[in-house]
Amino acid sequence: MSIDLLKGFEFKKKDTFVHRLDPRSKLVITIAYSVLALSFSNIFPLAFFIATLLPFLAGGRIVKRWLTSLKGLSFIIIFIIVLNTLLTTLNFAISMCLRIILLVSSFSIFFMTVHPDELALSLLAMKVPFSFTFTLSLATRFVPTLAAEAQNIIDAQRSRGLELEKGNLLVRVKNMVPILIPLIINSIKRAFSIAEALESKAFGAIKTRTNYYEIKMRARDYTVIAIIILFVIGFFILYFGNYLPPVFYFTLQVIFPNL
Amino acid sequence: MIEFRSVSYQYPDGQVALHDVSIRIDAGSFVAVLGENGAGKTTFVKCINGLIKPTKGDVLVDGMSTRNASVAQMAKKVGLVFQNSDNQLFATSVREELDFSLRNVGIPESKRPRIIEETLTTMNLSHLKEKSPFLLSGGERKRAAFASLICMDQPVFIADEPTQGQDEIQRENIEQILRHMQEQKKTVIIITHDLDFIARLADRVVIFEHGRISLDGPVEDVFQSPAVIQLGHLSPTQELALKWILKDKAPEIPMPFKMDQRTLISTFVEKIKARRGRVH
Repeated sequence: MSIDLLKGFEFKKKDTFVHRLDPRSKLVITIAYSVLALSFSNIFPLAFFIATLLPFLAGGRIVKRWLTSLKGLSFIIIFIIVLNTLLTTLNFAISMCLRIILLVSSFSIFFMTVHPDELALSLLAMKVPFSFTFTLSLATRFVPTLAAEAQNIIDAQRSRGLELEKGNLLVRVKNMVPILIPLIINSIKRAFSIAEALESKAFGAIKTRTNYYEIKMRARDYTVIAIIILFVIGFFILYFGNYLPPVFYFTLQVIFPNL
Repeated sequence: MIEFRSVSYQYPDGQVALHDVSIRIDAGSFVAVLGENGAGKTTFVKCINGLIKPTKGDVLVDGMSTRNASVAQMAKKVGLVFQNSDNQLFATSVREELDFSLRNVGIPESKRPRIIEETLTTMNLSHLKEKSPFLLSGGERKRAAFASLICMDQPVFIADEPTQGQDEIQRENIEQILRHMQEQKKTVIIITHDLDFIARLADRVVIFEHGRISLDGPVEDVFQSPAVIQLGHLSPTQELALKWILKDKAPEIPMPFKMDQRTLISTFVEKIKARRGRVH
């Protein structure tokens, strides 16, 4: 697994239609696509959902970083394909890969276009307690830091002769241990330091808070939410009512019965 | 020998970290690399062990181009201790930490225990060999990180900010380790802002500025002028500041760079006395 995957969750400020949408409407998109990803296990519906995400990716000018994050996902994809082909069927293996790509992509759109502070504000607007929203926004804010630290650890271990790109699947998984242990330990240490720093700054001393910025749902947000909900409900009706073209119900077993 | 031939490096985000750098570092020399943050020092050392492949030019270590070698191959020639030594430690004991390095470079199992014992003794870590690296003190962890590289016995050893955040005793320990390497005729390169450290150990200073080498020379020559402080973004030691003042006020007094504070003051006092004697 490469740290490229984390690039798919890193916010970068841009002035696009997708970036301007309210975080809550983007959260609806993410939840809707997650529901779709977990509800269908056929190749074509999942591929179709990924295709419908492309306008969002292109509109947010994040296609390049999305592709980089998919590159980082390649290790997991290979792992899923090998494991599922051996234990179940190739059809199921491909479906599971598409499912994980769809899930990662829908969350990527959200995290790549929502500023951590906006995320906290939107959750606050949904009456989520401040301590939770703050924890979540802090966690997303630390994704780039974590990515940089992971790269440093990888460099440090490669300098000691560790070869991450060599060996079979088992060896590669084993080679991740020298990367993951320092990363986890450093993260725990950092978490303690941040907690101490927050307490020293009187975090939580005042229960009622006001915010300098406030977010507001606009007509475009309601339109996007309406389209997404209609799309999800419409697809469920069309799919389970057998109204869709046969390709949506196609499985590889039709061509390769032994797979 | 390490040789940089017109090396440039640009990060994927477009930032140029090295710009047409050419330098030769002879085997057995002790080089201090200085410069402000972001000047290209870390990129420079990462080019030596092949972690970074130049976008232009070539880096040769003992005649082998880093471009054609993997980092694992280069790890047999170049040891690099990172600024944050915690990034390098992961094993359940200090002994296993060293064993991991030796396994990576293909040292047979029969030879490993002897090498580990020798390295731990040199590094004064024998009593901690079965202890988890994460339960060691900051200074001990730094020494364990050094040991995990030193056991590989590479001809080139690089340390990024080895004395940062270390107390005086740990600084002395690190100094001893580096001095030991110097005696073994290894090529040592350190990135540091610690002038005392440079004065005591280095024989050559290279200063980076905006990805280029702005100053390169023997330590005595480079520290002849206060300009180096600004160029290298350093804090002058009392000794050095005194030396420059005296040099300015009494240029006739010879002041070798490695002259200690006590000798420096007594030389100056004697000179003043002699001058007064001439006046009277």
